[in-house]
Amino acid sequence: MANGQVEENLPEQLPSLLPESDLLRMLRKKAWLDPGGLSEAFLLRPGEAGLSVCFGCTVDHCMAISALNKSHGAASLKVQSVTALDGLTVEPDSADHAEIRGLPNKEVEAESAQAEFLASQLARAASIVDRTRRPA
Amino acid sequence: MNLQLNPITPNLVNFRPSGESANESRISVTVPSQGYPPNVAAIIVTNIVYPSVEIDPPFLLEGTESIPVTVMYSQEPIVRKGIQIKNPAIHPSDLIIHDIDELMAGKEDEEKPTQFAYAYARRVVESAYGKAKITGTLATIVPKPVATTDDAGGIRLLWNLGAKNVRLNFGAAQDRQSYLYYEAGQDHDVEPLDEDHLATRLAWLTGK
Repeated sequence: MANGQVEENLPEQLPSLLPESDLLRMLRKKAWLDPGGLSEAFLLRPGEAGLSVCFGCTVDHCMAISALNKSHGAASLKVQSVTALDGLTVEPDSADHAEIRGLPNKEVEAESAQAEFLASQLARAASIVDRTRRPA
Repeated sequence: MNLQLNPITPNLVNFRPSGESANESRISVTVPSQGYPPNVAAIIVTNIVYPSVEIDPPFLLEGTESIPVTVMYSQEPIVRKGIQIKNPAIHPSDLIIHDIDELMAGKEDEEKPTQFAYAYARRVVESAYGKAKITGTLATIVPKPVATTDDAGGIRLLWNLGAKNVRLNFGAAQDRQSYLYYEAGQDHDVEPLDEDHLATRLAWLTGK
C-alpha cells in the first residue's frame, strides 16, 4: 500500500488455466445424458451470467462446490475447445471453479439462434465422463 | 338325419346335379355335426394354425418395433373369429404427447411446465404431425425427441438425427421466447414456432 502497510485481506491467488486443462460440467438432469440432450447443459439459466465448471477436482468435489443436491454425472471438455468458440472465455473464480462467460441468452430474441448454436458446439466438444447418479 | 336342424347337410345331402330326376337315389353322406357357427360352407380344416404376421403401423418410430398381430383361426378359416391386435397403431405424435403429459404430471429433475407451454406444445405437435401425415411429408422413421423443460416452466423438444438438429422452445408464457431452432453443420437459425414450420422442419430433418 502507499503508506507502507501490508494489505491484510489479499485476494486469493486464482490459478491460471492452461488450454489443455479439463473442465467438468455437472449434469443435473437425466435428459442431458441423451446424445440429443447434452446441449441443454450448455444453455444459460435465467439469471446466470456464466456456466459453472470445475477443474482440477473430482466429480464428487465438483458437485459439492457447485452446490447441487443431485446430479446424473458430468461432462468434460478442454479449456481450448471453449475459448476457440467465438467470444467465449473461461474465468476462474476460485481454486477449482470457473465460469464459461460470453454465452448469449436464449431468452433474448436476437441471441436465441447463437445461444443454441454455441450450446451445440460445446456439447460436441464435451464428452460425458461420469454417469453416476448422486445421491445414489 | 334331420335336415332342418343340420344346417350343413343341405350342402352335401341335398346336392342334386342338374338333370337328375327326382326318383333317382340320393347320395347319403354322414357328416359329423359341425356345431357353431351355422350356415357356413362345409370346409373342414383339421390342422389348427396360429400364424403370426407382422403389420407395420402407419409410421414407425426409431427404436420401436413393428406390431405383432396374431390371427386366430379356430375350426373354419373362412369364419374370421376376430383379429387380436396386441398394440393399437402408435403414431409418432402419440409418444411425444405422452412425454409432454409426463412432464406436466411431474417428472424427476424437471420443472412442471406452465399451462401456456403445455397447451402450446400439444397443439403444435398434434397439428404438425397431422398435417405431415395428410401431405405425406413425414418420413417412415421419425426420431423421437428428447422432452425436457427449462427452469422457467417452458417446454423443450429436441430432435437429433445425424448432423441435423431441430429444437422447439415453447416459452413458459406469452412474453417468453418461443421459437424453432434448426441446425445442420454451420447452417442454423430460428423460425417461428407453429405447425407449418415444424412439419416442414421434420421433413427436412428426415430428408423427405
